[in-house]
Amino acid sequence: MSDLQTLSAQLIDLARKAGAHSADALSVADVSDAIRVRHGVVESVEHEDSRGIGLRAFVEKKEDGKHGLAFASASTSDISAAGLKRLVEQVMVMARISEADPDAMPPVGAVHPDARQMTEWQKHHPCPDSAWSIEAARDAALACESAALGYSDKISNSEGAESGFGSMSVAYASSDGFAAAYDKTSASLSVSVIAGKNDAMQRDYAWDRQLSSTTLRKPQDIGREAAERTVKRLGAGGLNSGSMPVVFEPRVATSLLGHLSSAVNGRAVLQQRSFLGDSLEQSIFPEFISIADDPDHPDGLGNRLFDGEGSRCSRLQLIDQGRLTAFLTDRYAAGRLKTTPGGHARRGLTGDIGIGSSNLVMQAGPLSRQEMLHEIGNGLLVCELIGFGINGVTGDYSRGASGFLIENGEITRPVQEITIAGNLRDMFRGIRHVGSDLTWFGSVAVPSMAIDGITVAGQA
Amino acid sequence: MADRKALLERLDAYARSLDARVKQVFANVSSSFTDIRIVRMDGADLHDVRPLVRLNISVVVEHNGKRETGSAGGGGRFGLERMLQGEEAERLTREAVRLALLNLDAIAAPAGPMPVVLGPGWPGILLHEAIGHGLEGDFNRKGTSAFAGRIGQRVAAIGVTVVDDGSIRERRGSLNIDDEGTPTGRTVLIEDGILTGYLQDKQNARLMGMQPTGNGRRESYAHPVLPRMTNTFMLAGEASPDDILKSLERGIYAVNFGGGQVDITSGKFVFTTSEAYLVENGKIVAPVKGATLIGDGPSVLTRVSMIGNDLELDPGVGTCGKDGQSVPVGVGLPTLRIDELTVGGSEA
Repeated sequence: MSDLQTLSAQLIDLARKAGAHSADALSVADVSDAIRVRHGVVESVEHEDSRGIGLRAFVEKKEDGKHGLAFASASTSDISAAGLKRLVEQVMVMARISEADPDAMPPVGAVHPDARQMTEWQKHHPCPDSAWSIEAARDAALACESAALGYSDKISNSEGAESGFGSMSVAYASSDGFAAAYDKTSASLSVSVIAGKNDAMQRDYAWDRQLSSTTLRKPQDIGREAAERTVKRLGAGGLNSGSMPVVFEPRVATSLLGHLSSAVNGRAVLQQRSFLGDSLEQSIFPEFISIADDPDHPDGLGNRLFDGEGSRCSRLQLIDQGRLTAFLTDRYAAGRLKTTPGGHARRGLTGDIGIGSSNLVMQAGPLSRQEMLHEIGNGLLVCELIGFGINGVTGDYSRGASGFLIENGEITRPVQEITIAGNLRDMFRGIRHVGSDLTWFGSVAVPSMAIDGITVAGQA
Repeated sequence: MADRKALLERLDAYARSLDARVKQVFANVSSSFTDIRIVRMDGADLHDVRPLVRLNISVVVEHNGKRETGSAGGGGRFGLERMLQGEEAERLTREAVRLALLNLDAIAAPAGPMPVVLGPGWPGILLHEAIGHGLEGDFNRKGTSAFAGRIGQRVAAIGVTVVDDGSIRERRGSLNIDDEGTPTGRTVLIEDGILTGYLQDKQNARLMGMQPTGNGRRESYAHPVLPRMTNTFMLAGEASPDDILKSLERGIYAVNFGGGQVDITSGKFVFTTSEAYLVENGKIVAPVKGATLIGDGPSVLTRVSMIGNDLELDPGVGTCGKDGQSVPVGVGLPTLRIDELTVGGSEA
């Protein structure tokens, strides 16, 4: 057992001795480095080394003849014996004043992966070294920024390039005897540059993140993408209001999958906070749309064998030929929604358990970007969205946008200072075309999408 | 801990007692005392204690199969006791329920450029997004802000004065000293329409040959210092709020907002309404659904045509994000008429 696993097991023992019905613990050790360069000079170097442990304890309560379990959770970075003791005392006090919930799901009896599955998983998912030293990371950032700055003489300034790498060790233990640990690494590289001068400046960016620096896109390619995007935005103007088809390129289409993911979150459904809460088994997308949560995908960064409650994860079809076929669930939400736990519990060191997808993968379509623009004829290509105008209860949607005008199937000019608005229900149903350009962004894979009937506001 | 639980239970019961259409109540309260010690190479050894309380309540209402949500929050730099006692928590609860019920009757917002009247208080988020971020020292030293090199130029109508003031007692964005030990104070950003100042930490001030303004802030010891806002607001004018609303022939009267965001370089900013009304001939016609407003930071305030005499600071809910760091901030505004802003409704 790793130190972290011993620590987690110790905490559960202490909690039981303090009178807990059951408990689970999560410990995380995190080491990360980041280096930022600007105009070819190192601007900052950061190093972070942190560890912490979180405990969730359940206690039995009998009040007014009612019987049930109440729980609380807390965390500490003080892993001395005295620190752990204080943590247990704190959690027990908090659990005892918490409300009992007849549907509470103590960390006992989840469907855990067995020993063979854990060995197999580790064999097929080796944890690569992030393979960067701080010097190598600096050189990558310098090469990336240099490629961006050298792309065109229209590039006038830089916000810098940043590379980061780190590793994380996680250990989980629950009072039914399940204990497991895993390591995770990551490497990332991003750059942002500016084109134009004075009141006509434009900025854009490009980035990549992978498990290891060896699989990152080439620094020069990331730099060139950022510069190309930035230069194309020069001279952006307005656009008159109207209803039109809108093409979301993959990097912004990810946000639509994010809204779907929030709406099919089992806890949001239980709390009546989702506009899709009553839509199970209904067609909410056109037939050619299928979307799955896939915890074991060769290209995904969200792979996992078990979730934040130790439940085994498996592939789940969320949208099957347009139909909503499942919600994302932890054990609590699954219990109340009377379904099988999906293995989507997401937890931090403290706070209640949340729900989140592993890898969200949408099926690609047949059309190239060019073919899609031709099918659309006239409309808007959106490349960046800003703001938070989404009402999760109703699905109402209104966000700031920038991108390009599409006229007669061709991109004609950059546009900015516009909004796009509608209702996510109508937008999901209004998808006309899906591109063949499936692109991964960490743990989300999405192609371009063309959606009919979106209201654009602006002024030419 | 038990006191906080009792408060939340009280608000839960209260919200449900206000209207039978209230189906879900989510309330949370957080309070902290942060002990800060800053030791500098120049021998300074400074100490500060920073209390912070925040209450948030949101409700889901349902009527005839239609669901809506409303939320309200408040707090500041004081102890938890104040929130446990008194009427403020109840007032915020009534506000959340009122907003949710109002939204049940909301019609689609119009789409396109039109005159907008902003209510007092939290709509000051306009200043935070449109002006404040673009005036942070780092972006201007690097020349990446749409405001870079514009000191002394007109960026707002006559009568518009915008300040950042971290020294106001008990406000959410207030600090005795910033996170480098510089005392906070009032920095005039725009005076009578002319751009006059930037927000500075020590590093950017030194590099730009300017004075630090007490705006060097960091989320925690684990984060680097950045120039950040404290409480950012516009000083009051002379118009009566009623007259400003009456002047609106056809447009939007926006009283409450959710979050916002800005592209520093192009200057384009957004903020999203959570309580707004369609107004025709100076009269409120109907509440409209949440819509994102989009504008251009360096020019939006040149279209201000009326400034109210009713400056209010927000109730203490703001959190500002920059480079992955979150810090508490405040904003404020008097009732304000902007002759043209693009409203991102769905009714083309």
